[in-house]
Amino acid sequence: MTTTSASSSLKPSGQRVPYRPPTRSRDRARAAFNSRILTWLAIGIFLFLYLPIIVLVIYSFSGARNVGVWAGFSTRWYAELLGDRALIAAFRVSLWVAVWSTLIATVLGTLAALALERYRFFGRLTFDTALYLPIIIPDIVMALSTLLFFVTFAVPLSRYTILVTHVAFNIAFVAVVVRARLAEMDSSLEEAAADLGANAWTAFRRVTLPILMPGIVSGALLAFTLSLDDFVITFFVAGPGSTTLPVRVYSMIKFGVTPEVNAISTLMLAGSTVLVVISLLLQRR
Amino acid sequence: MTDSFRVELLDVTKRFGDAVAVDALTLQVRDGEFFSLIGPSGCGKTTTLRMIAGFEQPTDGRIFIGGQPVEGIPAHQRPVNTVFQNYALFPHMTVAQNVAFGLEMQKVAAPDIKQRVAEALELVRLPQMAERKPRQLSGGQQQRVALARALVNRPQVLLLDEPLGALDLKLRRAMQIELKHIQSDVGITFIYVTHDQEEAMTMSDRIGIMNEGILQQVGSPHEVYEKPVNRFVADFIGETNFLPATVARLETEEDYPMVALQGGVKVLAANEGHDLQLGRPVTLTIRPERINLYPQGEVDVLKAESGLEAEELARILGAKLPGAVDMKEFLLAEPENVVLDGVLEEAFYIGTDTRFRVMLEGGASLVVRQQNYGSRYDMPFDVGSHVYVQWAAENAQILIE
Repeated sequence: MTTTSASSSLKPSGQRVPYRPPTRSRDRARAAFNSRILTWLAIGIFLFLYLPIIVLVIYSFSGARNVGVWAGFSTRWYAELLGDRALIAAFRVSLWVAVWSTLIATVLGTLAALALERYRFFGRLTFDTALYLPIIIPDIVMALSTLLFFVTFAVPLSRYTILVTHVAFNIAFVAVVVRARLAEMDSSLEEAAADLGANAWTAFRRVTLPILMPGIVSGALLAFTLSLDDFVITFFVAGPGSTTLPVRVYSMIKFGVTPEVNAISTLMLAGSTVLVVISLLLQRR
Repeated sequence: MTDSFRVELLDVTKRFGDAVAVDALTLQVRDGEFFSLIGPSGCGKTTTLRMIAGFEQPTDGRIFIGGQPVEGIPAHQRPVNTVFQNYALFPHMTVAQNVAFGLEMQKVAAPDIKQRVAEALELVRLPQMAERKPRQLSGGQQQRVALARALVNRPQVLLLDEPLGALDLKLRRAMQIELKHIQSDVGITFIYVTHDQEEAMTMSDRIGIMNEGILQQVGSPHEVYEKPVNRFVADFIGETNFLPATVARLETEEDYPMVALQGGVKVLAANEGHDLQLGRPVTLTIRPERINLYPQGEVDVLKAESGLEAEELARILGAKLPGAVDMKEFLLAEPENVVLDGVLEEAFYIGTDTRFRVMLEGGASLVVRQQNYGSRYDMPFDVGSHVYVQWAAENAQILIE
């Protein structure tokens, strides 16, 4: 191969592409063209992502009975929501599951993060991998396997089975977020606390926990959002009388999409957005 | 075990798996002393400090603090405090809260805490920074907060783990002096770990030099510089020349043994308690600044191109004016002087002094430092010229490998 490369440099000069020095104006024109393309690409992607949501939000304020028809601004569907007993009940189940699963998963996830980041123990790597599985495996697999588990052990499906399942996948998300914070934390801070006379518990309470707190809170907000929005897994493990909001919305759609669905979706969207923004702001601290 | 030792380590060994970090270390640190542990990275100095603090447990041996054995006592119950290399200030607390932390742990009453925190910040000259967060301070200020946070607890011993390592050279020099002043003000025993021998020399009452887990020598800065016990210490502290030699005579009129250098040149050398036998290979160590260079041959005092005034040169050489002096004869008038022929190979002017590389008769090579007093007094030596190389026998020390 070396011979060919050597011969290529010996080609008559007429076969070479003549060299043109780059001119300043040509470079500038190309840069301007590139930046214009990039701008339009970015706008296109944002439209693709958010246009459906914008449409949904706009039509939730339409007075018309049919979706996709604009009949003047109205909060009629929001009022109708408040009167929908089944929907309110589903919302309360969702809230109950989200609050409790968040609390439990935050405590367990934080402890798991501490164990993995601070201690060396037998089976640590296995535990590490197993903990993150719920993030990676498809929802449908998680849903089927937990359903199978409950059926095998004859556990009656109820809001408690939803709670257990939500805790299971939320631990992973809390652990990831808390661990990132913990990895940034200088471990000599804990030694400094001990050096100044703090026992292990006091050092944790006065030093480690306050430093981890933004990570813990943002992990908890993430868990809360995930729990509130989850449909696939919940759909499988929900029992009669324990319908959550996303499951209820799904069953409403089966009878045709009404603007009421638009309204409830807009509210959920607003709630989730607020939580995610708070979570991101806390992680930045 | 005597009470006058603030910290005592007896035969302390620390192993990490198969690696021996600290090997049978025995060390006594006196009350109120500024003691430095120095050595290259990985020599075991930080591990030793961490064992005194209680962050590591010795594999073997005993540690006493204030006369009390401390095995099994966790770090938070030991009467010592540490200034960490990266300061380890609590980022979520203010400076005042950081300094108050140790006192709160000791359950000191709130008004006392307030007063002692103010005093501690006064000591490190940062009283106006009390309400700042650590990240709003410069590196030097953070370092002082770390010092105040440790000292406010009035520990029996303050441990410092390369606390000046992250500061720039000028600030480091200033902090060295300040640390030394603070130490003599508070009178607390300091154990200071560093790899910087100059820093240790500047501040310490005594220095312990470690290499590969073994304590090589303990002594005052003067002792470890003037009388290093082995080649490692001589090399690690300051700059030196090593000359291979063999023992040629054990007894001489001048009370110094005589050794033969490369090429058979015989010179007197000082022996600090080493057991010498005739023919034994040894190493001579001579500090570059202890070697002097003189022009060769007869020096006419009045015409000498030394750059000196004739009276001045005559005074130095002990000659009577007017007159000529044979340099070698003059130098050898002092029986303990070693005078050898040499050729100047290189000269580097570095401001405070000039460094020469000299090839000795017999083929050995030496680095020589001559202080520059000012152009009028400096001997103008040319590269390639023949010179007399002189040192006093007491400055050439015999080391056993």
